[in-house]
Amino acid sequence: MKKNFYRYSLKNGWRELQKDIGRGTAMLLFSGVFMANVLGGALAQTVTLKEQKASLHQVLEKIRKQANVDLIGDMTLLQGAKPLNIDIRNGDLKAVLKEISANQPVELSFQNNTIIVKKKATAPAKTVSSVEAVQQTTVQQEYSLVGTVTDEQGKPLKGVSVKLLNSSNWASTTGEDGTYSVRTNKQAQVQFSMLGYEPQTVKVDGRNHINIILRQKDNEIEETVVTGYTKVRRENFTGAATVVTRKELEKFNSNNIFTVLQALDPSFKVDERVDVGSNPNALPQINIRGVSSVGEYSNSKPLIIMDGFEVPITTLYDIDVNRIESISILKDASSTSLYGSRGGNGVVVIETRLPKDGKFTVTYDMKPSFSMVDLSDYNLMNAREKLDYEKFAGLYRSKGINPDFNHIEQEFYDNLLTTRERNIQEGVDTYWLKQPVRNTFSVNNSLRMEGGGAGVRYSLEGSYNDFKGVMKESGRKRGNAGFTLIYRIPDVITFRNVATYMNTKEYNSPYGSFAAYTELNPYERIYDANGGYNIRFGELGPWYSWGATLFNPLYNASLGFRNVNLTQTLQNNTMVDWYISPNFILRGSAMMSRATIQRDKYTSPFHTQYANIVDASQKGQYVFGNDAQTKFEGKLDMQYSNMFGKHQIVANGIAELRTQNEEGNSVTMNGFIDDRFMTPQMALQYAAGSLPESTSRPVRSVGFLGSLFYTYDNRYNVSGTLRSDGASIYGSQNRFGTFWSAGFSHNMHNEEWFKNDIVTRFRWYVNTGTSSTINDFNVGMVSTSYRFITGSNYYNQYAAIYSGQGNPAVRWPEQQEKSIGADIGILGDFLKLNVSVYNKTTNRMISKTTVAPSYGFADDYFFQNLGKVQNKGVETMANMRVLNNTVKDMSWYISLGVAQNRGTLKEISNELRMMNESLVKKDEKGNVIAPSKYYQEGESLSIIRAVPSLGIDPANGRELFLDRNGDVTYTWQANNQVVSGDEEPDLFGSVGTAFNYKGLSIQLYGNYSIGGDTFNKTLMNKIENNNPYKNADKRVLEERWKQPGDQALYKAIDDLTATQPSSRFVQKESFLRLSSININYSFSNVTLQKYKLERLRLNFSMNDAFRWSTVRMERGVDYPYAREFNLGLMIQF
Amino acid sequence: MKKVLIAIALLVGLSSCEKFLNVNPINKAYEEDLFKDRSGFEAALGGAYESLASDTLYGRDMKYGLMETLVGSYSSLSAGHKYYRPSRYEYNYEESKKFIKEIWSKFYKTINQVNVILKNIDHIQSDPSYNLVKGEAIGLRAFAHFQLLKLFGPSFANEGGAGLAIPYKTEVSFQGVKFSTGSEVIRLLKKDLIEARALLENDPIRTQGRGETQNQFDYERYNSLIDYRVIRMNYYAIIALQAMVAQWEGDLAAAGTFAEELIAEVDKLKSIRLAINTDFAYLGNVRLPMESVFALFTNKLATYVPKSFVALESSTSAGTSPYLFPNYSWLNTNLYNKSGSGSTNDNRLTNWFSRPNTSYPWKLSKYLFDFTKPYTDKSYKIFYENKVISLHTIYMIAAESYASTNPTKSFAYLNKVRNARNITTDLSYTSSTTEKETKDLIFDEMRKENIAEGYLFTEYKRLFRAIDRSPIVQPKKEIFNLPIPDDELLFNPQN
Repeated sequence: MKKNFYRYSLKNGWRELQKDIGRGTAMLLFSGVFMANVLGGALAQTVTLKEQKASLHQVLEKIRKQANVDLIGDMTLLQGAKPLNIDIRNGDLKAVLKEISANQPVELSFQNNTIIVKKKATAPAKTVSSVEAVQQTTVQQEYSLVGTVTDEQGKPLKGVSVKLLNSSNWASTTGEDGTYSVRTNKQAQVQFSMLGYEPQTVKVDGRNHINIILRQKDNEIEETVVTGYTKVRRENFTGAATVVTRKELEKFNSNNIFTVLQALDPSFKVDERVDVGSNPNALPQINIRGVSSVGEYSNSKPLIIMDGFEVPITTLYDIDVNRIESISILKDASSTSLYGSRGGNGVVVIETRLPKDGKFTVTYDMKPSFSMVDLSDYNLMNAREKLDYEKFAGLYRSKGINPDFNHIEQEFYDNLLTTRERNIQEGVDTYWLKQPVRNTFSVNNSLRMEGGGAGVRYSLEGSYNDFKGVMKESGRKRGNAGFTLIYRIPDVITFRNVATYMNTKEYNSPYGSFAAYTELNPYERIYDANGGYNIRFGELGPWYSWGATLFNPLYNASLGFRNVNLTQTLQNNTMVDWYISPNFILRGSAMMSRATIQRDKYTSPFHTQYANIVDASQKGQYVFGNDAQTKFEGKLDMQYSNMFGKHQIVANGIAELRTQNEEGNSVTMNGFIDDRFMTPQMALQYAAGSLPESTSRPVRSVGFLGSLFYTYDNRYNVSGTLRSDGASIYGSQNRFGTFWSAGFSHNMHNEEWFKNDIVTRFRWYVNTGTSSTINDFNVGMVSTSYRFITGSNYYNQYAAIYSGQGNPAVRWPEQQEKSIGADIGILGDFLKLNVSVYNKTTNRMISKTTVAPSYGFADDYFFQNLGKVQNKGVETMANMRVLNNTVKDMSWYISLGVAQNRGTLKEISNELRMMNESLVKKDEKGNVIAPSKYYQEGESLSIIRAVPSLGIDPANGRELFLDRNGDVTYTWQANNQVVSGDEEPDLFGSVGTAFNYKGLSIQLYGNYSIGGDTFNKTLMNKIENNNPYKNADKRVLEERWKQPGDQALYKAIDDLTATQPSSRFVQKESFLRLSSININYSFSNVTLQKYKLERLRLNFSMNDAFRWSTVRMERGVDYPYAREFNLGLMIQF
Repeated sequence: MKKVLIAIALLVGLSSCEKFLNVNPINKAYEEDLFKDRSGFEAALGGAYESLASDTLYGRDMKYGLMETLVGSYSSLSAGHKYYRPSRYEYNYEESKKFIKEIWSKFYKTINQVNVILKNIDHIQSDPSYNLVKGEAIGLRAFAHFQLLKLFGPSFANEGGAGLAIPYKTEVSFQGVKFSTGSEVIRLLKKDLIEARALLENDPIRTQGRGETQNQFDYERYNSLIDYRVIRMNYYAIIALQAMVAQWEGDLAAAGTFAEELIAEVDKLKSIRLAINTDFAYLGNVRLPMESVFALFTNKLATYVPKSFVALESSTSAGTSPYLFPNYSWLNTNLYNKSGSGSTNDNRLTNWFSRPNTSYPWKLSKYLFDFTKPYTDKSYKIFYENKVISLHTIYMIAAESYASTNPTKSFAYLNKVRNARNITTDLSYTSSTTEKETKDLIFDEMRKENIAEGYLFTEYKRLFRAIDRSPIVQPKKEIFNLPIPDDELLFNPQN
């Protein structure tokens, strides 16, 4: 029934009471709840009767009295009725009527509190005898089966069709109260079915009363894809999209939407962040279907749309999950072309929740969560081991040239060694890793109130979460508030206003980078004898410093510190739908938002980074700045929809306008005297030569869009879009760009010739189109820029200093995408398969081109469109229902997502060639410290280059390399590097399983990746390149070469030369990460009624519980990883 | 249906948006915003002059810095000195390459800047300053190309003009411009100069003088175009350039004509004139600004100069210091006091070299002024004026042009200039004076005048003369033609 409303959700939409809001997915849920409310309120009438051979008339009279109802109709008919036996306790009135009239020539119906007696319209009398004859043989077995059909929450379901299998004679539907009655026999099978619910078949097995619980189909809400401009039934969609509903989000019970999306859609890829670990203030890098462009101005971020308007990715990161109704991930041209110049990297469309009609409801959701720091990737030496290593490395041997001097020096060394030995004997074995971290407990509270009636509905919501990170004193506070108001005059207008306030405070840890703690030596004490901090380690004597200068970061952490970014966003969306005529709707929407960001960063003058600076005015720093982003957007959407016979058409004409500006200033102050006065005012001066730095990023754009959806007989679907975008940043020569898409899909399962019992659903689609991404396009690329600088004047004339060469011919890059795919259903919902194949090409990437100095360009470069990247890939998602026992209300599902993406650089630009040189990371001695990104035409974008290694020479502990000519050598040379691996995995994706039993549901989700190469920096830096003055991996001691003949993996232990990238450190990595475990329990209706609640749910979830990998590497370099445990409680009343 | 039409009308209403889309960031100035009115063009021209006046060009390296180390005016440099390699013509060392590339790049950046100005010049077509802006821009373009030709192009006396010289850039171009031959560059230079001269016909310098301003009232918006014309590409400078271009090509007659035309021109107003003895009394006149036909204003001169010339009272001497010291005894013996033409009275010798007493090394005091005096003070702006074309040079061009045809006239010009330097003994032409002797006398006079002016290297090159330093350096193409920077050859290949 619901499904019928949502042919594109638009047709008839203007007329239907519940759908005027114009948000399809929301309405599906909404109307369900609405109905449940109304129906749940009506009490079923019941009767209790026990009669032997009583006349039908007598029985009816008794019922009339008991139930206090009227009895009307042709009473004479009752004379012909046979006497009957009946024994019912608290039977439902309707069911009883049905039962007692079953073998009688009369029909009894119940309407408006009245029992109506009518003559039964049965088969002609002449056949009666033969029928009776047959009945004589079956009459013993044939009897009335009654019962009630309810949904999972225990609410009665109306209109469920009840059908006796293998017999077309008997069919019935449930009444308002969910009751049914059918004639059946002991061996029969009865099927219960209803749209939007999973059908169920039960064996009667001689029972005469069977209650059935129908489960809502999981994909109920998936039925529509929200593109942000239109809503399309999945059935009629011509492309690939993933839709995540609130139901799923609730089950995940996580505040991290990125994890949820990654678990549900393999093409949504969140970078493994080895450096930033679980830092709550480091935004994850995401991409959909691969990295689409490379270079300084590349951009692979998807576009985020919330309630029809673009929002920054931080909004998705910080928003309270409870505010979200659905998230659609649009992946291919059929829908991303709608966004033209912005849609090239895929689009994530978020719809927020709408208020419910009717009763005032309050929902409270509490999520306490624990974060436990995960240091299992670290395998460092303890005090004893470290000192042994130092001795092996020969640190305590004086190597001076002057023998006299050597003598003195050796004495210092001996003393130092003795001190350290003594420390160890005294039991000093400081576990530095533990010092800056903690386990934390945070709570997310969220409250929502909603209600309304008579055309007005509203909701008010708020949430607060202070998420504490595992590095001490770091965290992220998020506050959300929202107010939604809907006003509706049926068939005329719908008005909706959503006001949102978001507040995010990032505060970073004074403990600094975690990496510093991994280097500190365990034989050192944190505190000195007086209880103060040891500030500097390894002092050898007044004229020597011992090895690397290691300061105690805990001392620095104890100083005054501030590193806070505060973001406040205020946003208001207004939408008006005007139903001009049955076929035309005009939608107008407008958004305005203002975000302010305040940044404060204070470094104490006592910080050890100023250890060598004497001038007080240079010590200590305060950087503060603010940014304000203002945005206005307006949209007008004229929609025409109609249905002619089997043809359905929806056409939209849309015009939109956007203007945004970001303005801000930041200032650096130097010179502080005391931590007590952490304010810019107390600074001694502005940082030398500094001026306030200003940001100014105004962007204005307009877009004109036409889209058309056409469906024939629910079998063939055609879609087309055409969009023209204009933007201020493109420069005056190329103001406008055109983007288009075309798609086709075929619902083969609706074809007569295809229909079969095995493949119950087969829909395939194909689409192609163009789009772009403009995020980092800036006016400086097209327009020559000038600056004014103090002192740069010519006599009295302030000189405009030429600072950048614009190229008016630069255009935004173009992405061309082709996709083909299919949705397959086998045996109904037993197995669902989604497959899609894509080929996405980014043409004319924006590249910085270096030119000859005679061009006379500022810094010898300009921008042009050059370079081409192609991403080809396959995505499949399989969902299998392993078990579905409706009687026990138990089900079990397994899902598997498999994806492969191959990114290739098709055309290389001069910028990338230059980058190959400039990206090489070298230390101060010119040694290459890690493989850098390397771009090579025809190769993957993520190749790893290193010199081929032949391993360690057992004779001397030196590494043997293979040079270009195939000769063996001991020398590492940069130009011997070859492609030694590719970070792109062969396969990656998600696995999941869900088990439901009554109100309990358990889900496990994981990500996996197979066959990607990785350069194991831990091996190189913490085992070989380790500076012996600093702590390192245990394998230093165990696995490095020590004496001739050792078959070692790592070079000689006393070899202090730098190890540079060799193929020895390139390892194939396969990993499986259990990203979330969710356990939810929803209390049953009975409990809820007892406490007068609408809903009560308990959740438990665990994030990043476990990660298994073939490569052992230190992860969480600057910020450690954490395991998260979330509890959750949701009450609705 | 009416409602539908209203709705459609609303949609169409959004379509007039071209103006709406014209918006740019304000933390930088963009081409389309800057070049809207005169003041934007003034600022952009200011930018072009400023880059010419910077330390890597006329603020140092094209003047007393790099260029002057090539002609032996300074004592030999120690191996650690930044100019050590180039001063030995070892252009293949990274140190030399860096300097040479910087000069090449900076001139082309200036050229590109004026080309951007010229691209937008039509925006002020109706503005009265249109001719001045356009004339200065084209003139600057010619000037910068001419300097590049002199440094990197062929010596016409040696190779003629057929060889490849430099790319001549007449517009902002995103494609590499191929190198033109020397003669082609000369042709393009002449074309630009003719156009610039026509545009600058009404240059205020012809009526107001070299350093005056036509800005009358403080409340009026300042107009740098009509102020202090000698530090801008002015009408006189164009004529001077015409003379110099003709001379470079070897067309001495044409050069002489332009030179005499200019001498006659400046004589009318006398704001540009040869120095007189009393001028030297004032420190600000040491570098003889009254003779500037075109100068650049380097407001950072007070920070640039002390990095090259140490203070008079300092006892630091050559050896390992990063400073430059004049090769005084060589210059004194072989040039200023050269028998026959030299004189101890020469104001240049007495005013440009000094030392507090004999225990101090000789210093080139020409550039040493009171660095604490700000350029913003009208009385001291003269310190910061940095001469590029001198009237003295124009006289020398005239003298040279008559060396073979009318040597008496040559001697007249020579003596006039010598008198202005307090050399009272006139040189006299006799029938036995050869043309070479005349030219040598002219060249010696050039050398005396252009100590630390950065001008002499290209003069040696023009005449393909042996460089008169100790030891004498024989003329060689490899010495005179500075190598084209590697990046140019890499990114602008010629085939």
